[in-house]
Amino acid sequence: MPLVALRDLHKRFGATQALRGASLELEPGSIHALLGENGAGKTTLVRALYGQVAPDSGEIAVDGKPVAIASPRQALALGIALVHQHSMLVPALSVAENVVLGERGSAFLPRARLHAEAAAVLGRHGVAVEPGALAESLAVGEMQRVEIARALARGARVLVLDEPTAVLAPSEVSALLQLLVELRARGMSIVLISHKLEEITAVCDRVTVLRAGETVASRPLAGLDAAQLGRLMVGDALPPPGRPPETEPGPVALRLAGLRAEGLAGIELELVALAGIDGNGQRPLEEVLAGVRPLDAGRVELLRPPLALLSADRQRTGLVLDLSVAENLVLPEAAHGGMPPVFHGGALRSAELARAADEAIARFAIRAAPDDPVRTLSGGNQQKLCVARALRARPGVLVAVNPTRGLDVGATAAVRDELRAQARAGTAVLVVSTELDEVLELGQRIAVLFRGVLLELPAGERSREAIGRRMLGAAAA
Amino acid sequence: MDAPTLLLIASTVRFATPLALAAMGELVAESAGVLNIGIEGMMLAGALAAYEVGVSTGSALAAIAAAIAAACMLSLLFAAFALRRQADPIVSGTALNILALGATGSLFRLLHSAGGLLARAPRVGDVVPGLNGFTAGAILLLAAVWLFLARTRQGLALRAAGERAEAADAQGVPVARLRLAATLFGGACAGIAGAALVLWLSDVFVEGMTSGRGFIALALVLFGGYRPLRIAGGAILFGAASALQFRLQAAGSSVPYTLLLMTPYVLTLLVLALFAGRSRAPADLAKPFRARD
Amino acid sequence: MKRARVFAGPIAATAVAFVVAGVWLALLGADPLRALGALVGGAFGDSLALETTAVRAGPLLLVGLGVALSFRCGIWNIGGEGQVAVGALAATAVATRVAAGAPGLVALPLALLAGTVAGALWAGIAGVLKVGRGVSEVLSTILLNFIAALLVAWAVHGPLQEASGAYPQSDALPAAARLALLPDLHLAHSGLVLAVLLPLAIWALLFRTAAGLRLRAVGASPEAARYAAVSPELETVRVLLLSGALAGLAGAIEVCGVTGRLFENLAAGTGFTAIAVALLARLHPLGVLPSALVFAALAAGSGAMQRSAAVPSVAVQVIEALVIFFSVGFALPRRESA
Repeated sequence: MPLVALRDLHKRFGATQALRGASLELEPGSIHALLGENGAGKTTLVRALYGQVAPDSGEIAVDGKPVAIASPRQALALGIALVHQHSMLVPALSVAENVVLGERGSAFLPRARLHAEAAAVLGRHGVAVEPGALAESLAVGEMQRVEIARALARGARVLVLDEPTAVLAPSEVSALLQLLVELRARGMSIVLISHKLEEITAVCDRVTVLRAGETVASRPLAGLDAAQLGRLMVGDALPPPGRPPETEPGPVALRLAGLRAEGLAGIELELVALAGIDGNGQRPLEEVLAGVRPLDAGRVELLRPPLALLSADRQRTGLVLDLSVAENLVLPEAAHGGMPPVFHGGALRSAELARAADEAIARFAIRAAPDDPVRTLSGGNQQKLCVARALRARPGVLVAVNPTRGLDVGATAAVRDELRAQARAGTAVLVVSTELDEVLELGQRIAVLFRGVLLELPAGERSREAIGRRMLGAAAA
Repeated sequence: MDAPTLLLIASTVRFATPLALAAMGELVAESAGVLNIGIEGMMLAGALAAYEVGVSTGSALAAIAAAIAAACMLSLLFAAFALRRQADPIVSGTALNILALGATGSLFRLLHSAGGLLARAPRVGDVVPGLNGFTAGAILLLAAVWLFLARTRQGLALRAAGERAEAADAQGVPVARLRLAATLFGGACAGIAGAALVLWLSDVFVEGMTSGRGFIALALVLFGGYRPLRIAGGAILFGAASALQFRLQAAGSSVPYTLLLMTPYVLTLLVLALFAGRSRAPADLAKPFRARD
Repeated sequence: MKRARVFAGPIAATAVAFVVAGVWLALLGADPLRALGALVGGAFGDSLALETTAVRAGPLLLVGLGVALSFRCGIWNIGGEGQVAVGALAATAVATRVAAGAPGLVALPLALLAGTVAGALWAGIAGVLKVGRGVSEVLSTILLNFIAALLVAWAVHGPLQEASGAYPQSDALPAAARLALLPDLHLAHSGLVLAVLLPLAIWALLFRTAAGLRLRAVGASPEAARYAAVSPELETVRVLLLSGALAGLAGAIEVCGVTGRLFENLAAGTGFTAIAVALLARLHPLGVLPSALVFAALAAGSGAMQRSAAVPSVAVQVIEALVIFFSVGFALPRRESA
């Protein structure tokens, strides 16, 4: 009898049908993979299990009995714990406070008891972190270990991990997978969400594949190889991994010399692809290049202006969600007092705006109308709009930060192709990405961002291991 | 210590107490993530309720209870829109203030349409010579709020709800319930502050008598950096400024009294200008929270 | 069909507000239907009532426009009261002291300009405090309201007090500084023409210019706007100056067109009512016109309501507040958090 069974769940968010008949059955003492590309509904499914999403229809059963899980509190009471994709620690509270949060116990909580309880939990699961430290000061991998320890301490029988390896260096990934194997041996049931096929084939017993909100396969992993899994995931053969464009690098277009700012400790750079674990300086670097973070020292020399930036967070900093497609497209031009041809003397010329929007929609295959609020666009179309806007400025330097995060396979390929095309056309392209595959597919030259400093990869060392070592700080091997 | 100085100190404490009471309540509310700018209106409603019930029953205790009840009713209204319907809290709070101003004004006029001399409300006296009941209450409140927020499990859960509601929710903390309770507590404190205006500082109700004290209390929370002791210090500072200003008026200063009356507001602006930017509000303050999609 | 939906919300909100207020009045022992009848009669009963309503709508329209503009940009300008007051103060000071003997062509425009600039600067203080020191504009504009009221009180008890010294009010404004009445009318002044034209101008600004796009972007997402090279700080100050200017102009028009002199509590409550006006109009510049008329009718009818139905005129504030609640609770699209 499965420990947890999710049967035929449906869920609609506004105009989007996130789940249309998703099912999953979890056996005790197993590691179950939940596979699917971005947007397939994996996170929605597990959030329904965790009581954070109310399914429109379908059934959830635990220990064979149907249950209605209306809140995380109820899920925890049933022994179900979820480690979210993005850290769910409260940044401003200490590690100890985060660990103890939500735990039942005495009402009165003096400092001594707080730290004792936290130390017990952290110690039992081998997490070497200062209980008094603020959660926001932890590295991403450490945060994850705290969250796992916390879940185990609450007596979880089912541990769900949503894309846990996205934020880890390759060696940390191995350590995590090792931990999961140990937990399985102790009888834990684990759901591992991932779109990384190698990880799944490494440790999982069973796999459930979601495509467009529907379970398309659920079977033991034995005998399935990565190619077959890929085909199940996408419904077609996966496109072959791309390769960096074969062009001769031109003269230096962007030079960053000795950059120091909060989070950056001295960057020297001449245009490459940048790998690194999130939190090592990508955001400060992006903010410096966007002009929103002041420099403490060093300078940015833009030798081939203008510079256009594809922001990492398209919903928060890349686009104004409540404005229309057309308005977002020309916003930078409005920022500079209203540049022609769309603006004339500060006034908007509707005909020119319509023309600009139509052109962008056609060229980049954006599935939307010019007046649609950007909020209603899919992630892929939003990102294509960002690309369209960036290219309107005819940049000499294009900086793209995590350009394909959260995009499905089709949109990912489209964006990467466009970046290669720009490079071939003579634009200097800097890609900052936390996806190793992306870095290897796009980067003619590769460097790793570690604690705000750059570690360049010698030409002959283009391998995941070499990059992975530098992601953890080991300089030239 | 000579008589004028003693009087000044007493005056300071008298002005500071309602501010401190309201500010403590708002501190708890904001710590849970609720920005309630309607405490001005809640204070006013508390003042009217305290006056009317006080006069008709003659009991100060009943008056205070009525003040709390009136303020809590308004808190519920605020919560219904700002928390449940997730309407913008600034707009909801402003609407609440307008409502309170209009409702207390019209109620008061309707109740006293016959005119004539206004009855006096019962007074709350000293529990210990020199220490008024309200001030004693404020001191106890200060200690209780600090203890709750800093040293209890529920207080931790409340602070988590204000810093990052989704993380608190993921750990099983009942965010919506905590925010509602915090809002009611804030309202109750504002109500008690209003009662203090009518049962101690004055003994009748006057339309609009809060005169911005609720907003000064909001500023005090910022000024005190969300720390109870510092907030109390700020309240004393303002109490002193008000006391001094009255002293100057009484002493026949050449400065027109209208300009002197500006002192608390100008002082608040100054204090905000110096300290607001530096104080770190709970990260999820005034952000709506949806527990379940 | 979509057009009609846009009006359904505000209409429903107003209707529900009236019903709830009626119930409340009945509970208090007043006669709600009689009150409503008196209200409507006082607002629309005869041509004088209509003019009264129109004249009341003027300042509500102007200040409401300013509020709608600033709210749209995410700036909570609650300082309409104070900005109107300093506008009236400045206009009076210029009309009765600075340009006392000047001809109409100079005195009136100067007075109106003074009021506009004063309102802009008063709101500008909040802008500078926000941008320079991180002070919440909610608190600063409200505090400035209290200070402005006291400033007016000081002026009419002091430097601007009428020559006879009998009452705390200014001298009557010289005829040269007065707004002419519209032809054949008794109350409606020419300032109303301006009030009616401005919504269109503000609409054009907001939706047909680069400046308007910048303001709307900052209101929707300050961070994304910043990344697109728009400065939220600059736009914050700009929108506060503009909304303050509108309120200051309203104050000047009140003095030059309606009251003819300055006294305490001139146009009191306009600033807060204007918030209700803006919200009922769903922050749309063109919607402010009908919305202002609704609230003007309330104000115009409140006097009659007090006389005929013994309901204190201040009760209309309850209706205003209820309209705000129901507008934001149900009719106004919720602002999505980032």
